[in-house]
Amino acid sequence: MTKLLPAIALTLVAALFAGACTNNPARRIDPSGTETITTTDKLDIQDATDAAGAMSESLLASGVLGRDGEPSIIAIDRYVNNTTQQIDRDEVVKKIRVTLNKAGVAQTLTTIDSRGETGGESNIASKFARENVDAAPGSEGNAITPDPLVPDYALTYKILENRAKAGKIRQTTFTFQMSLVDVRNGLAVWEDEQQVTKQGDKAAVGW
Amino acid sequence: MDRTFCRMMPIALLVLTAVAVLPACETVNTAERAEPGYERVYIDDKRVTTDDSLKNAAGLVRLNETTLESGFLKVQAEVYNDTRERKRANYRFEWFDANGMLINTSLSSWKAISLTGKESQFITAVSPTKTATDFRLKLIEPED
Repeated sequence: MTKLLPAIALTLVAALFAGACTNNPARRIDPSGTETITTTDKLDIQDATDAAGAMSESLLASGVLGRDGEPSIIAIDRYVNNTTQQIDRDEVVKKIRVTLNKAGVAQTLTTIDSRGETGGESNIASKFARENVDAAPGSEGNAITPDPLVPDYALTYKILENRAKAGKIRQTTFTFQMSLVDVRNGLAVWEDEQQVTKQGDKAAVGW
Repeated sequence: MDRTFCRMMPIALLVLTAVAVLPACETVNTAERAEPGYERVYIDDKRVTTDDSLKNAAGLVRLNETTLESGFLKVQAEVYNDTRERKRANYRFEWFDANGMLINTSLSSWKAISLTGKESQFITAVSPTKTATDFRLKLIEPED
């Protein structure tokens, strides 16, 4: 028995070390939580959420949308990405759309594209709109007028990037700029800017 | 001389280590009107504190709220860092409707806040819907 004791102890210590080595098995985490990975040079999921959240709150607080008790009709206008990365427009814009829609103050027109032409993100609705626009009043064919065809507001969006380095420390700032433009007169009735700055020498889990 | 040096060496090392380990103090000085030009509507709050170090680093001072012209509820919380070092904390607002049901929204994600020593900061949030009648503020220490 006494001869076996060192062997048992050794096995236990080895098992402990083996457990410590596999300390990061894959697991699902809350995407809105604090365990997400923070990089110093990329737009992380939390950065997009933060920017969208700040912009949405600003829009809701402004009271511009849904003023008459009915949801305003918005269209997604030009998106300018002046960063070194490919960032999908909807990483931020879709979150804002969802928040405004759930708040009951805005609905997005999906039948026009960012150039104002018929042909938005909904193929079927765009086709329906195109066919009915073509059928001019008084002409033969479908007399249904698509409603609504003209949005109340257009949402423009620009994202900028600024990088700096001091020794090993890297810093990246993403600047999100948005304007809500009254389609009828071209006035920007709401504008805001949100910045996300990250600094460090390497990516980290959690923030 | 050598003996004195040898005796002083551990003490000197200890002092140097202590200086290196101690975080740098960074506090803020503030100035404001003696008689505020505003009148805040403070609300009574109920607090559950499970982390005393967080309470020192980002302690809740007061909460006030207002209903915006647009019909949305806006909440403002004053958070105070009672230490002499820069501290970070994460916070989130949860929103509830008149039936006490949680409103699922991306506006309830965790956000970061950084406070210098003895600094007080305001964190604000706007309700995700006009049906939101209540809220809860959560604060946690970041994972370092």
